[in-house]
Amino acid sequence: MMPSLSSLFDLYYFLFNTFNYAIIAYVAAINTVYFLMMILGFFAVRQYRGGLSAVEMRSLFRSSLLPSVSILAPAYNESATIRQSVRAMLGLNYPDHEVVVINDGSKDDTLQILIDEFHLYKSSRQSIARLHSKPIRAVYESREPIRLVVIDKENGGKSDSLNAGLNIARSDLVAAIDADSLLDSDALLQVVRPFLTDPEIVAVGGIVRVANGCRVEHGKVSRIALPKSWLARFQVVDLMLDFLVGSVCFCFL
Amino acid sequence: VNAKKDRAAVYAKTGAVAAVYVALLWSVYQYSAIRWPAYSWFWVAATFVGVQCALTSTILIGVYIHRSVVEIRRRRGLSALYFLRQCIASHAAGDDLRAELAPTVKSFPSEFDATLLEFLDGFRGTERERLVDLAASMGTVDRNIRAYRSRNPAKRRNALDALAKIASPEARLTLERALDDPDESLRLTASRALLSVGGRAEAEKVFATSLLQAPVFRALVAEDLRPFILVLKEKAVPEALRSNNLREVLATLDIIWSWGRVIDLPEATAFVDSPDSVIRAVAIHACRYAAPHTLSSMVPRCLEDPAPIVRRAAAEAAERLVLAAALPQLLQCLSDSDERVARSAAKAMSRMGAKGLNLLEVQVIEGSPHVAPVALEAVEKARLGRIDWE
Repeated sequence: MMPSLSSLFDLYYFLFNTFNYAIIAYVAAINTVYFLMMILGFFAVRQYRGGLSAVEMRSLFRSSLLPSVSILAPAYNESATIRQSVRAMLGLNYPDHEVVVINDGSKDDTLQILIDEFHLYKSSRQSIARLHSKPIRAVYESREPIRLVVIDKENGGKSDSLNAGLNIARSDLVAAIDADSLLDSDALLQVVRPFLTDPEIVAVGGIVRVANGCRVEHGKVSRIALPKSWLARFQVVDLMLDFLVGSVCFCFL
Repeated sequence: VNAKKDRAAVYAKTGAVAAVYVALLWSVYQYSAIRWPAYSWFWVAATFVGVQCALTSTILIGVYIHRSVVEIRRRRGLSALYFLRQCIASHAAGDDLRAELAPTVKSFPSEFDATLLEFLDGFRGTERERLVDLAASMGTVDRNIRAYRSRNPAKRRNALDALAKIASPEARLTLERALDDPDESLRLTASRALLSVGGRAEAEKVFATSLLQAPVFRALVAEDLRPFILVLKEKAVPEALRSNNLREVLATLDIIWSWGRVIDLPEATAFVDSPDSVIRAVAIHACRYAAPHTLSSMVPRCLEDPAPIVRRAAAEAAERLVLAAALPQLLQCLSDSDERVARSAAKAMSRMGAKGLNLLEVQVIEGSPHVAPVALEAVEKARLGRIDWE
């Protein structure tokens, strides 16, 4: 027996209404959660005691109590930006840090650029095989007085590269970043501070900002601006919501 | 307790705002749905959009008004700045202009305080004393003491900085009290502020305070205590080393190590034999500066210590003091189970001239598979000259 037109219409009406309510409930829930996170983040930031002042940064920089830091930067086909990124990492304001770039089997000339730019030689530095990683082809260090180590290994992804970097790093702390990321010049001093404040702390994270649309000169953001495309602008807003509001809120919680 | 209270306050404020938000949503929805009962789902959506747009607009308008008020105040303040500067300069030169200043200070207290603090930076002697008197009589000291009691941490820090510049007896008293503030950043600001204005007594007080603080506090204050090293060495440091509190002893050794200046403190060597391995290691680092000669004879023994952290510290001391007498023990350390000890030992050997390098080269050829790479790395660095700057 065929269902009547009226019952079909009722079914359609029911499904349409349910769908509407589901969409509204989802949007309402997500909006409420974001709103609460924003409010919590706002009050948490107001209570934040503040970072170190410029004078305190200078004092901390001179202290021999600072732990050494290895910056691990996995790079895959980064020939366009690697030169600038590595220079920026080497120029960070920190008394005892080394930069470990892990060339994750790049198909472009990332490695050659690094060899030419930083006068690298094949080093006898050995990897401590504590963590599993794809085979390392060679380890390079610079002939110049800069603390740069480049690991050339077979492609294995970011986590595999970080494992290789951890095996070769020689510092008290390690900082994992992307090779195309830019760090604030005082980022390491700021990020090390919690380790010196509370010996129980084993890991810290920083706030990530989106540099799309910003002017970057010599590895530093010289002018903050939004991207030209509206789609990219919405993406920036979304990422800021995640990185700023989300980080602050979850950190507090 | 303070941190728990602060957290509870944040939760309470968030809860209050959330309650207002939900109440607003509910009221708007009820009002709309009752008036236009059809399409209730539409009113749910419209309520959300409406309330959120209204809240966003309120926040934006509030920010705009706040900024405008600040800007208007700033511009009004600028009009008084010239007069304030002239009066303060004349007062410093010897004229008594308190009566003329009083009405302007009443209208523009923050501008007066900022201008006076600028002047205090540039004057010494009698002129400075006159300005300090002016700060007291015009209420700058009281205003900053009140600001220190505020709930805003940034405001409190600025108040302490201002009090350090004024450095009147009341200001110093507040700074000394701030050393016991529950907020670490304020204790730090107060310590640094006291050191910038104080003498021996203040340095000793700040040193004693820093012994009970977190390492970051010690690292920062240790740098500011540098000008007082000789003063502290006479009484405060030996007293701290005699303390029964191991935490204080460790902090003192940390500070001596952080100073990195040779000071004669033979009592520090007693801690190289401490039962606590961390204290032994830090004592070795500190004794490089506090008692280098005595330490030289102790390093070979320390290289055989059961704790890796101590062996590593000893290897680093051997490197810094270029102790050729420790070569046999360093050679043994090359095969240490802790790779960091082995590397430190290899680095130390590579700095001991031809004798150390020759021993390392032998290890490169004849050493075990664990020892040879460590030795090779050290030899390579020494040959390339990297060892000198790394």
